[in-house]
Amino acid sequence: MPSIKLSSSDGEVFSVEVEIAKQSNTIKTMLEDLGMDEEDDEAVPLPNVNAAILKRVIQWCTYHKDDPPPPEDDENKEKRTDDISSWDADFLKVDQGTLFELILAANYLDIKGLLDVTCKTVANMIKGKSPEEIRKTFNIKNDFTQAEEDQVRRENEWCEEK
Amino acid sequence: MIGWEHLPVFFLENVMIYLSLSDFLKGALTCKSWFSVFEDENSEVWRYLCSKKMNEEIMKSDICMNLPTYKSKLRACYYAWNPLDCSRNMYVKANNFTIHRNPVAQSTDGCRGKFGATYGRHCWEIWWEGPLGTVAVVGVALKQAVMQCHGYIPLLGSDNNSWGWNIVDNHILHNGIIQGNYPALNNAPKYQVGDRIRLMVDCEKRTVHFEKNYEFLGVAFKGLPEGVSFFPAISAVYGNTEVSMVYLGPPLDG
Repeated sequence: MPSIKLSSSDGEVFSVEVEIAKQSNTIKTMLEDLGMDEEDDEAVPLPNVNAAILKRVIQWCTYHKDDPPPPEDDENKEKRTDDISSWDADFLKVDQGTLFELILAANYLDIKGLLDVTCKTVANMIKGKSPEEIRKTFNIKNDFTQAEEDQVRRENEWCEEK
Repeated sequence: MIGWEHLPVFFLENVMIYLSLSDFLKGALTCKSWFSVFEDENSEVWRYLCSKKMNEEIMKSDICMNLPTYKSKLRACYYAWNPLDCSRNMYVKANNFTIHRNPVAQSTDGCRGKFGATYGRHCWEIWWEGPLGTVAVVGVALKQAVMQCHGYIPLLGSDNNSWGWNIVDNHILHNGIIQGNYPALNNAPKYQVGDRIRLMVDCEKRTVHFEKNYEFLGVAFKGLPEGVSFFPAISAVYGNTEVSMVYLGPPLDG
């Protein structure tokens, strides 16, 4: 199995099978378009991802290496959040800071599957909660005045109907 | 530890697209940054929510021509004709916005919208898609106003619970009494099938007025009662005629 080296922002180098690394469209493009040679000994620098997060991303990509390629985006396909596999659910039992760093990494590395499942996990943390509970969950500071909040509620009462 | 505010702008949209409409509103109420996704009425989240409720053909049809955003289209769905609040001789078509009156002899049939206004200012667009017949009335009704009766009469405006403009003879009616000509002109032009009427209800000033083809026609009713909900309504007598309605939101004028 050919492999490449990935270097995290804090200088740690990981050796990864090319097929696993290519789940990242960012790395795939580098390899294909920029003609980076697989035999090259030089590590691909990933200045936006630290070692702790990169390690987790590689773990995720390794588990998902045999997944079929993600289907073409059908924009009207039903958006569900109850289809997270139990492996992914366990993998994402992390603190919020780590979850957000995984989102940033998935976005930078362009790994659609990981981005989807992390965003779904955040959505599940919002569902069914009151605004106050959501604020507490995400440490959000309420910058609405009472009058502004009342107006938004009044104008959008219809959104609360079934 | 990083927080949600360190995430790129697309993040909130990517997450909120997985929420139901009511959870989307609750998220938006947490703070102004989260509200910004809700406020962008053509965002991907609104597009997706709208596509679940109405098909693309209807979104692009003339019915929606004055609903510029996905949010306004979706709201119009929630504020459309109420299929459970109309005469038994009527049904709401699959497009959700058009009511059909079956051919029934000696019956006048009405329908209310789902949403009744209790405060603020509201504007609906209503237009006949088929012939008017001898009586065709557009206006507002309270919840208790009757929506079906015997004969061919101006049902809206026939009692204390409704206010109507009969667009066949250009009279306005309330409490069974003709209140005058409307618009207050000699030989006001007759309604043509397809003309878009705008019904404006102002719950603060307690008035109702209409516009036709974007022209203000003057105040039709003043001194409406306080503390009640005013539903948009029509009454019709012609067999197989159809009337469409969309809620436009608060009027854009001052």
